[in-house]
Amino acid sequence: MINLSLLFFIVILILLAAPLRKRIPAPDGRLINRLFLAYMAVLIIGGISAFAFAGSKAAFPYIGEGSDEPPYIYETVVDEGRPEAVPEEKIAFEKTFPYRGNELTLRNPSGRGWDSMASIVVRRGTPGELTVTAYRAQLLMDGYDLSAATAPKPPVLDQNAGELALGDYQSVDISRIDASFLTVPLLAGGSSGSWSSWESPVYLLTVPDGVSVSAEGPIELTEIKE
Amino acid sequence: MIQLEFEKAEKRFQGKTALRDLTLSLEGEKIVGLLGRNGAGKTTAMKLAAGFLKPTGGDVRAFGGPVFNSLLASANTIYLSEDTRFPYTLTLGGIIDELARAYPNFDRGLATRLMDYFTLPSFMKHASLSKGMRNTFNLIAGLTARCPLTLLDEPLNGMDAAVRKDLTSVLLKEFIEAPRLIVVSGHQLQGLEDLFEEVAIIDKGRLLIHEEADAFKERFKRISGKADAVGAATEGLRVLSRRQSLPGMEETVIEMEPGTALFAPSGAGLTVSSLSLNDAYIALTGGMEGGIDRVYADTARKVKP
Amino acid sequence: MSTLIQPARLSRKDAAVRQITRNLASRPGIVGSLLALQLAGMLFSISSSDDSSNAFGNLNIHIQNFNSDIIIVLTLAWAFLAPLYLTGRDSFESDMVFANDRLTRHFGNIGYLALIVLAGSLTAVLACLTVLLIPLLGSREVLLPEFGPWGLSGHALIMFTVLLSYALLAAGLGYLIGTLLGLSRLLVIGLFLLGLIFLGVLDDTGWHLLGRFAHFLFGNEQAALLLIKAAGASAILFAIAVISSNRQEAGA
Repeated sequence: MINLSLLFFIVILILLAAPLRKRIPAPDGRLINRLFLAYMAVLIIGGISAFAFAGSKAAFPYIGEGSDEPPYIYETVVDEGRPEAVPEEKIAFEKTFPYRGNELTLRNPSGRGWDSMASIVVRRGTPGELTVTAYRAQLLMDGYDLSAATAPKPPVLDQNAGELALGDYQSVDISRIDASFLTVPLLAGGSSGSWSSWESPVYLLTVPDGVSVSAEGPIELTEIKE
Repeated sequence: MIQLEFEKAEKRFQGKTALRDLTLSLEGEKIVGLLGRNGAGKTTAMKLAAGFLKPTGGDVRAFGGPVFNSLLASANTIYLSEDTRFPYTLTLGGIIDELARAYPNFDRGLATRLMDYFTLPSFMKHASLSKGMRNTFNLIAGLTARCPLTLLDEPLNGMDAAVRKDLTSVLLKEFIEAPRLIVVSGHQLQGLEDLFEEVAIIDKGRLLIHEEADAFKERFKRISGKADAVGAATEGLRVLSRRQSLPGMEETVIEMEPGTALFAPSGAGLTVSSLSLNDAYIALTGGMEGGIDRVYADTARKVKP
Repeated sequence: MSTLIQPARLSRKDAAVRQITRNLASRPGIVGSLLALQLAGMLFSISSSDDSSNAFGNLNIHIQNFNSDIIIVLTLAWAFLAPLYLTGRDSFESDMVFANDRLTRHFGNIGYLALIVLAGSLTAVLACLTVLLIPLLGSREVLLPEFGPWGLSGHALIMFTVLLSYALLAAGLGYLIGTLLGLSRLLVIGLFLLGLIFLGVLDDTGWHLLGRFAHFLFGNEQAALLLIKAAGASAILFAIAVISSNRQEAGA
């Protein structure tokens, strides 16, 4: 999409400059050729720099647009209750807090209502310790795996109030570079701007026996029965 | 030896014939005047000679072949006129550079000096020059290119008398320095006419005369005196124009047969003088007898056109 | 001292090379407009990046899209328009002042066009790469497109090859149209209408000539093949222009 205000500005500039055209002598061909060569030299430096920076800025691994991520985190952890079956690399973080209370209230930011649903699976564990495990849900764009940048924020535990606030909305800023239309028919991996499906965040909460867990906000709470 | 030949050359533009059946051979290093009234076909003939136009019929040859689309002819011919379009972005200095690249005999040093002399700044653009300055530059460029065939179409148009005089000297000096075939066309060639070795006169698209300039000039005489005496003296001669100079007085231009002499009767009070080349060709290609005076006289007498 | 001037011989090659250098010296508008258009294209590319926001559950993704195709589009438009100027009547008549015949003028012009189209395609690709520095040097994460097995350099090379192919075709087409316009505007309109009727009749009979030709030309999986075909097609366009105007008159 062309920046219309810039286009408007350029057109106005051309219209204003048109009457001066005859007063200002047309530049000599040699001068223009030299300017063009200087322009080319600057672009060569720019192009080489772009090569150098592109290599170091490749932040996300390319998986391919065709690869469907298995929705197994929700399935494995929530449906099947087998969190231990999730491989290590799918765990975004695991955070353990000392906890002596008898009640725990979970809070999830509810600004987006049920669109920001979090799924929490509770299981019983070691006394005096509360462990929050967050899983890394896979998000693909144009075949790139953005998971590294989209892991949920760590929760905050308020010991006195017995409240565990799940991470707020995660914001990720991305500069996306489109492939030129010239190369699209010749390169299989041309960008189409496609997104993969996105799983709502899945947490595993390991709480000591006897602690009762309640939820506030858009939370789907499930407990694993031993 | 350079030779430019028109052989039954004809040129038509969208049905209108600009030049017909022109057979003319110019040969050797000389300055030739190609004369004619407006619309006579001079420029068409010059453009045919330069290879700019393709003859509709006949042939125009130089350097051993037809000139149209010939690289050899183009490399050895320069045609400059008031309408010559140099690349409008080039300065005069830039045009000189390009001409020097295009024509191997181009004398850049002389061109620069002449430009300085005629106060033509090298940074100026050709299109921004006045008509006289543009023609001055064109003439300098055309002469210093030193092409074996140099075609100058109306080169002195728009110039003041001092510049015309100087450029006439330049033309002569250049011809002496580097003899070549220089064809100068036009109808305002006062000053240049003394340089012509030959003249070719075109009228209404046809070649009227081609001969040595001096011989041509000598054929025309102006006889003036009392009207009846002039009438008697010119009886049987070819009168080209006749006009009343004062009441009862007449001035007549006659054309004599080649090789003949005119003997004016003595004591009749007649004055016989030679014509300039310019006047001679005007008389030859003139319109109705009596010239512009006749138009006024006819109007006064209410003669129907 | 008086020196008789002898006729000089000029080879076609020399005349064509002089036409190239004369074009470079006397037609700054062509290279200047390329420079101005590509700079404008870079400005548009930088300023026209559009933002989009996506909300996924508890995830907000702000994306700034960078696309430098406008540089390519402007370069292609220039490649078509520049020959129209080069083949205009004014250009033809000023070319004929210098030692030239129609063939060497065409050769010089075509050589000049090939040279500047090559340079223009190169600078267009380099400009697209240089524009990438804006996102690459920014603080945001960068999502590069999948550039294929040879990465960005392979992508740039393919871009250059494809752009050069299209630009050569555009230049050939512009040169032919410009030359025909110099001969007769009516001729161009007539040919255009005849072409439309001819293509329409062929389409009615189920023989889609344009489609077949486009498929032949552009339906390649390899950029090099496209370049060869495009160079051949533009050579045909140039040749038609040369042949059709070999009798063109100056100052008629």
